[in-house]
Amino acid sequence: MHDDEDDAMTPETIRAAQALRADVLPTEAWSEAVVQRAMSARRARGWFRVGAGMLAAAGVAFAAGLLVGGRDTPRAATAVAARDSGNVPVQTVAWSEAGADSGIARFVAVAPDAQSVEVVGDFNLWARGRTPLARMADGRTWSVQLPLGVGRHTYAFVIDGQLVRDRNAPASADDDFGVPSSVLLVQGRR
Amino acid sequence: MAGSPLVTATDAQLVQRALAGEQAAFRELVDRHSPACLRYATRVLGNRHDAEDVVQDSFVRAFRALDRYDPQRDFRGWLFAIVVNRCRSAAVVRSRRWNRLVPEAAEHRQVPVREADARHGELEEVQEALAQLDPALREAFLLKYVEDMSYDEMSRVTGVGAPALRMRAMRACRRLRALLTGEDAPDA
Repeated sequence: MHDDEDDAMTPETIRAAQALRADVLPTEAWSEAVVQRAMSARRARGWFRVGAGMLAAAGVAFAAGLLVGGRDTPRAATAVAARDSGNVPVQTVAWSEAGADSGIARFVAVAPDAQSVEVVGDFNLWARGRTPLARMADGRTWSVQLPLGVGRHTYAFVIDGQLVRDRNAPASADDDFGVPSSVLLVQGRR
Repeated sequence: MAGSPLVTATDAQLVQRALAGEQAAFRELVDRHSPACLRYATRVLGNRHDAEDVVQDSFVRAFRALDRYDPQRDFRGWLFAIVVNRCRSAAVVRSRRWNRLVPEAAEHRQVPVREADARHGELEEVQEALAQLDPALREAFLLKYVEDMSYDEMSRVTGVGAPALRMRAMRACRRLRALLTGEDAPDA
């Protein structure tokens, strides 16, 4: 049953494990509710596949006009330069269309000396190597856009292998892994 | 669903069919994996109500991320990684709420199991002992000895190295035995 030695197992702990293996079976209503909730999220995914492409292609303004969609677009680089002059803040933001169940988040990190930047969070299971940020035209700012479901998300940056909280965003009080993390809200239906 | 080809499809095939919009394929994944997920979450969180919320949320998150699932990877492990993470978050939130509302809870949790409530059945007694374990030890014990995962599987699910998990499982056994017998654990 096990592929390793079980030196520490005793009759008491074997009995405990057997007791804990008792079934906890789902009800039909619960299973159906799971499927229905997931299906409603699928509609949002479909919207994203079309909507995100449309947003990136059209360069639609978002989030109070801070940045535009599309990775490393000239307009995005312009926005970064403007932030440097103190006029426009550049930070991680999220936006969604009215009535949508999901939105798009743009994660932005300023790390001029970094060799690599990625984002980890509840949306990618805090797994490294899945969501790298791209260096923007100014050479010091990194960004990536992701589809996210409506709601509260926690995340952190991994800069050259080190977990770093996004200090331009609210700190999370209940992060998933006990590391400093930040909070991003994707607004719900309006 | 008896007789349906869904029941003989692999998890990876069901994922592909679910991604193509076949609702019944996702339902099959829920039927296959929800009992183990519910059991794990119930043991970690101590009650079925919270477990159902966490597992439902986990399935929805899994569905949203389904197009990023690597078919070469074990689906159960992939799903369990989500469940384990959501359980951790739920436990932290609940612990803070509990400690804020019931300050004496910490003292209550130190009461030896055998003296705590003689009316409890075996499962309740074990569950109560389990609740007194450090969360990391509890997680290791459940994945190893209740869900029958190898240390490599556990490592992929938890993000913790196999040697550390082996140590945690061993310490969990010792601590659990001490709680169940009333004897002191060497490293408890």
